[in-house]
Amino acid sequence: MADLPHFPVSRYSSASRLSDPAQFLREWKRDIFASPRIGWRLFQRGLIHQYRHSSLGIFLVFAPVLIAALLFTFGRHSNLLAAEIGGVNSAFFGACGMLMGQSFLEALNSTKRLFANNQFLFRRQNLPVEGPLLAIVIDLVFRLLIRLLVLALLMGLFSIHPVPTAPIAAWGLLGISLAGAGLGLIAAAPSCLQQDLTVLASILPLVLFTVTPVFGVPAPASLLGRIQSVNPLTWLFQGIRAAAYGGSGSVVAAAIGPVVGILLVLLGWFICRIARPHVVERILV
Amino acid sequence: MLNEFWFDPMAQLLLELKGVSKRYSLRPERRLRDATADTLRELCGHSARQGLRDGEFWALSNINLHVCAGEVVGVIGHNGAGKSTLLNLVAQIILPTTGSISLFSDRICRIDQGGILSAQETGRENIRLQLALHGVPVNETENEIEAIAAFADLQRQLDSPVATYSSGMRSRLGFAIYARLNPDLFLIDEGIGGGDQRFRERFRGFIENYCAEGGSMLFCMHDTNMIQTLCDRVMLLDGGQEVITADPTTAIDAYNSLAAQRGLPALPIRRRRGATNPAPEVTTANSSIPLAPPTSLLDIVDIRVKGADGHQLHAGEPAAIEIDCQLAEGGLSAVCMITISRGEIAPLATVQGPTVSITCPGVTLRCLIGSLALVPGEYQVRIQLFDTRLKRMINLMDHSSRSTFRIEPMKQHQPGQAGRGGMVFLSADWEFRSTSVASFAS
Repeated sequence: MADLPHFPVSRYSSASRLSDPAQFLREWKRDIFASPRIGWRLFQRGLIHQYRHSSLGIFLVFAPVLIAALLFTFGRHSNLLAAEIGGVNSAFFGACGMLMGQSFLEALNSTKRLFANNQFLFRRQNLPVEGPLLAIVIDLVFRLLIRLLVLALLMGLFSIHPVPTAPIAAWGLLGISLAGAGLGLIAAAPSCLQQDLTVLASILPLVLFTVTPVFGVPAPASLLGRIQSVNPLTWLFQGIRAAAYGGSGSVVAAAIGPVVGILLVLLGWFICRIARPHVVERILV
Repeated sequence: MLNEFWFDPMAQLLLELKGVSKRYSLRPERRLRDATADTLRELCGHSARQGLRDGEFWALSNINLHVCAGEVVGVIGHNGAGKSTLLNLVAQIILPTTGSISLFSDRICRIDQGGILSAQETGRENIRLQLALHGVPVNETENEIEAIAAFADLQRQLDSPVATYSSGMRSRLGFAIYARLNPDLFLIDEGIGGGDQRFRERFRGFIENYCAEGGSMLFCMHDTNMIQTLCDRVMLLDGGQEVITADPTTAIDAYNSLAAQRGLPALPIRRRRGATNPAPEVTTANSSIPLAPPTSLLDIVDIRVKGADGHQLHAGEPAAIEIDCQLAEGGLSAVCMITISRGEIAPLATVQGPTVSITCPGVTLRCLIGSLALVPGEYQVRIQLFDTRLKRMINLMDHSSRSTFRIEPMKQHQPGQAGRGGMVFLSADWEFRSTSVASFAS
């Protein structure tokens, strides 16, 4: 038996954990330092769950992008689609949009299931949210790296020459994942307790692909154009395109997008940390 | 509260609960609304709301408890008494609605019947995850995996998904992981389900060794043998409230009184407590069954439950219970207690023998029952031997492996004697006195 301290190493009560901010931050720091080994194991576990029973394996990460590129090429050759969108090959535009849209949706969905996917552990152990959250972050970074490779491959395939601001595009792509992850974390507790959000999530891709310039750019004066112009993701998507190969978007949007994404992740993380015992209490009974 | 009486100011405190209450809701459709309200309340810096919303109840109410280093505290109570809620609170899985919980160690491990293993992952992956969750450094993990696999005797199946394991193999693996963690405080919720007799004895032996080496434990269990053997004190919960915190025998007595008031099954109880050795499994079916080799000072090696003629047992007739014991060395004075139970009703009948001095290596205790006034059917018999000098139990049979014997119907069967509506034949004299000659005559 190790020597025990004379003061509690942890004390919890009915009082709000925010009533003692210093203690709250100490415990947060402790959980962050404890999370790498848990996060790594949970990441491996997630990887096994995804690919153990899948023949396509990692191919699924970039398959939608390649399929979008193929469909757009087919549509273009059949004169169903314009040859160019936003100054580049329409197939490349569509594949690029698919890549960004998929990044956002994957980040949103994986963090949204933070509690739901780990109920088994949350119900039995004092599992800090940082462990599963880190596992999700590792997974998202892993997928992001693959997508960057796919993006580079597509640029080569469609003879798109990168501009000097291309690294900002990679940074912007990270911003898309962060924005999705932040929104997902804010929705994690409600979606674990209520099925409505899960149902809504199934139509989210359709909504996203409509109100964001994923596959095309509508006329600015049109209704869809006006809707897209007030969607922050539009600025980010167009900013990444501008940073990667030059275009109508603002590179500044791609540069500051990740900062907003980080703020959203911090907010969502904080909410999840506070909500954890209240959510677990409701999934226990 | 009796709790204060038990407090030793010199003891190293490990866990302290002060005025802890927990509120739960029975309305799942409100859980999002309630969780959101509680989260927002906490985000605004307010304490948990004290009242009850519609559909809520107090799962625990004003609980005060402490566990010091080296102490073993049991929690008993009927289903829904709040035992698991208490352990969930101590494990920091949920927060109290009122009161506070202080932990003086972060090395706390919870064992529950639900198990910790994920069926889709292999044994190796499960071990890795559990070790990571319990703070074992990555560089020690691989060595630990081999040790755990060897301990669980699962080296060959280690890379197969846990879904392919039998329940006994899962129990062994779960237990082997727990056994390597060596926390400051074990929280045990009904022990480990599944597993064969050998495994159960191993689990029991591990818990006993852990306590003997100064480990601390807070456990909820219906196994009164373990409660009486291991616990320094026991808290009885009922409807989320502390009824009594006392020595194990008093607490189990109080539990049984509560059970009797509500017509619920009682817990078997013995009147002394002390260290024990797990007894071998016994199965008798109106005949003698050999038991496992003797391991303690005085071991039961054979039990026979017979009728008057040395064969079948019949309801209402004399019976003999013979217990062959083997003394390892020296001599001792012992009292034998026989408990007869049926299904969930335990004990149904008890017989306590006089103190006997045992000096020779082999001895047979014979209990003659004048009339076995039980209705026909299957029964379980349980033998407990108590060393009167050392004030400790010598043999305990595992609670889950009671021996069985059968009582046949009466030889001279009479109409209405089938034992309907009860368990016991009451011996009675009947009188008949006519109060209306006219009606009788008609």
